[in-house]
Amino acid sequence: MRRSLFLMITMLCLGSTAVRAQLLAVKTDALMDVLMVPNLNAELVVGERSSINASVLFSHKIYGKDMKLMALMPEYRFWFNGRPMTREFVGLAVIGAEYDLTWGKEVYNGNALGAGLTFGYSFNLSNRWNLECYGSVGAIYYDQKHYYTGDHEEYLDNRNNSRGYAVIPFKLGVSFSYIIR
Amino acid sequence: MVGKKIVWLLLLLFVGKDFCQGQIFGGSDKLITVKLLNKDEGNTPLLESLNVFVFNTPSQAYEAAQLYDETSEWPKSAKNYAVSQDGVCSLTAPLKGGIMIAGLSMEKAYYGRINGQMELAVSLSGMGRTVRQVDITAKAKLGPRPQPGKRFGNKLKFENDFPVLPQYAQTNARVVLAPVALDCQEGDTFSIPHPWVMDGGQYKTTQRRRMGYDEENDSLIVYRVDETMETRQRASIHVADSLEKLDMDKSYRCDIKYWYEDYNIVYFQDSFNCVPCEARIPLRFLEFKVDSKEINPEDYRKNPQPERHNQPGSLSLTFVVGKAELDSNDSTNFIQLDKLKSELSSILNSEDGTVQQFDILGQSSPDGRYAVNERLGYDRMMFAFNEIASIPGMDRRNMTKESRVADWEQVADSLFADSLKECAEQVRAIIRSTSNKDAQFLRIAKLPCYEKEIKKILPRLRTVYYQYQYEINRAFSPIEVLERWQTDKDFRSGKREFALYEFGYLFDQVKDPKELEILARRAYRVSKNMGNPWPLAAYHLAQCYLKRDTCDTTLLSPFIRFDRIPNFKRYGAQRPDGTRPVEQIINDEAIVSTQIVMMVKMGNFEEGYGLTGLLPKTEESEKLRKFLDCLNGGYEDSEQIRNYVASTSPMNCAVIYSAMNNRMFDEMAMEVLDDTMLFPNQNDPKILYLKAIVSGRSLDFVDEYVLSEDNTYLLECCKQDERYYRMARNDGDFTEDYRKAFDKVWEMYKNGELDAPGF
Repeated sequence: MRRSLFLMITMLCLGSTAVRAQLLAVKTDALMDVLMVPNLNAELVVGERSSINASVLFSHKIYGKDMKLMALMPEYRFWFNGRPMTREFVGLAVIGAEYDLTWGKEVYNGNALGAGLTFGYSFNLSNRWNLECYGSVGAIYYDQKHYYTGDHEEYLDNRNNSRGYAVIPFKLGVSFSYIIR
Repeated sequence: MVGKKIVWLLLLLFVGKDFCQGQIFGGSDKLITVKLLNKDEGNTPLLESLNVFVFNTPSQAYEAAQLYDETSEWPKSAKNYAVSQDGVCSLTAPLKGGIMIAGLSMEKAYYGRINGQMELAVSLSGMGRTVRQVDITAKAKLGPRPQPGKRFGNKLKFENDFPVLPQYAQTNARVVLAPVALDCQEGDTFSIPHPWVMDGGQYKTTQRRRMGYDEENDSLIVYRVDETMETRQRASIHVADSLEKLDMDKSYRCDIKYWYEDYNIVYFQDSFNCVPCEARIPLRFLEFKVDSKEINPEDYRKNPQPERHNQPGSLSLTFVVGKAELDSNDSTNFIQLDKLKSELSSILNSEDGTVQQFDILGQSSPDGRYAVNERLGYDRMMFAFNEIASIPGMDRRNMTKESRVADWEQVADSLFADSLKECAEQVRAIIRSTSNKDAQFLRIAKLPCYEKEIKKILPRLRTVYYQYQYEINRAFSPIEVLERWQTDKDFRSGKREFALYEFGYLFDQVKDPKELEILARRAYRVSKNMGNPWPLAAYHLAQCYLKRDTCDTTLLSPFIRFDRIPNFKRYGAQRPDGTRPVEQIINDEAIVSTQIVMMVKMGNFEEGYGLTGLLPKTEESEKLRKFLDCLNGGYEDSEQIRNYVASTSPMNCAVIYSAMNNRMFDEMAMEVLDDTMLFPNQNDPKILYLKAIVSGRSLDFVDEYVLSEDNTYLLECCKQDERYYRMARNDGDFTEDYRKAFDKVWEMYKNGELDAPGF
């Protein structure tokens, strides 16, 4: 899983250097921030109707709970009205995540890889500020250890015991973005 | 399961926005413009106080109209919109809905379908009586009304307000107005003035978010107005510009094509007439005179200088056949030779006069043996050469000599020129068949046309050509120069040219404008060819042009510089005697004032005004400056200019006041025009015309009755001088309605119907 993440980051970086230096925006998802999941997004305009967005989020203790989450979500966005970062868009996103979550007595520790569609709307607040509302749904493949707190130690070996597919809303948020020229 | 629900929720959220705005499903309300027209008045805007009611269906509109007709009750549940002063009503209605129009001036209400149209032109007839007959004629033209431009000489200033209509206004769009100026007479494009652009607020912001966008490469940015367009909000673009360097005898119009475009498409485009052909000429009757100053020729007098002259010519000498002796029977031989000798002697006898080169060419005819002819040609040339070389002072070293035998081709050419084509062809055939000159002669001599035709040509070929160059330093006296101009056909025809100082003498003496123009043009050309255009020649040429109403401002412009003071003298190098000659005077008052007169005649008041700054500061030049400023439209903004020009004469006062074109000044203008102390002749056509303009502005309603009974100024004016009728027909100071109504009045007057009952 770590290798997959590394590959994705490398590809994203290579892709960024291939495009001409264009409009670049940095943003943060306010909803995730409220959930105490620090996140940082960057969006690069690559065409009259196209942009590439990359989100990185990391959390160690969500509301004091024993939850670790790290995810990278590159996304290609198509802007319907002919200008990037303005009004309606649809995005094709891929996600790579590593998590270790304790939810009640259950523990989920593993990786996920998936893809999904994002729909959103971007309001132009000023020359440099945008407000984005978006939601995303997609399918992920997970490979994890699923056990209960207090399970016997020998059960906690390195082998994953749970894998499968799920359709989840893996992105929902309200972002404030600042455009760096 | 939860995941699926969320997907559906997001999809609904995404489309819900558009659904709410009615963009995906039809049936929502749209902004619609209704333009009410008076059918009885030729579909002019209906200026009545009316109300428009909107219904979801046409049947509801019908029922409401029925109810109104019966009870005079206005529908309570329907949305009600008032019609604006220009007969236009913007409303929000479903495209499949209906409208009802009612008002106090209508006995019955009108109802109709919207039928999916966003712009309706509703033509109503029988206002004040019964209105049920209604035509929805076509799409209404939504552009502004044409506004006449103001003509100041060769410049036409225009302005208008273009309405950005709510139904087309979008924040993510741009509206572009592209004007084109047309020649009204020819219909040709005269110029393309700059465009006007209004961007939507979002459009402006998001332009910078485009891939590779560089504002400096957006050629329309510089024409963008400061205001922004917002969705469904009314706005306007103030269109103001001027057309320059117009032909004074032509009229011009300006049409504007406009289009609304969003990021992807042009979603609406149309065009309108912004400026009609009929322009206002507010200062038409301004009393104004501008004169140029007399030049001082002494400032530009040229000193006689050694000048090289080129003198070509030929002698047709008749020699005794077969000999190099002049035919004593032909007296012209001696006259020609003596004349040439006399010319050369006068040059050589003058102070410092020299013949620098003399080229002589002797030619014999081709009849006879070639070797003999060759020798004969040489001998004859030597005869003339010796005659000329014998003149005292002639230097043989400066003389070149040459001789030749004319060929038969020259004979053939002469025959052909004399329309003896057959004989010419026969000679040419012989030339082609043999190159031997003797053989050619023997065969040509046997031709039937030889005796009769060819022999006549041959004497012309026995001639001596010459050309000489000379320098002379003697100044001819003014009388001598005038005599040469009057008597010597070579000087008159331009075959021989005067020296510049001689032209100077002629400018003083020749009074005939045509002759003076010829001389001035020649002098100017000579000086220009010498690389130093002569201001005196240019001045005289400019004055001659002005006398026949012609202008060429390029003539005097080399002697005018805006970075120099008036009468700036540029001095040449110091002379050996210590004096400094005046090499050139820049901004001579006479030259500048002549240039101003030319500018004024061309209607270029702006440049004329600029030139007044180069005149010496005098009361007269200040007056000229103020008048030119006024003629260039400066009276509109400067009270000082207005007051000054108004104070110069009662007519100017009336003209300036009426030119201001507002109620207060109109009243003042009428007061001045009505003053019999200032204008004792109240029937002066100019006075009547100005009164017609001023009083016409206050008319709310114009028809032929009003113009013939209450407002007789124009009629009386045109009765006195019909030229004013033609003037009024093209005068933007009268509205189109006024002009149309007056056309009818004039027609009635011409038909003798104005005395009929009712008028």
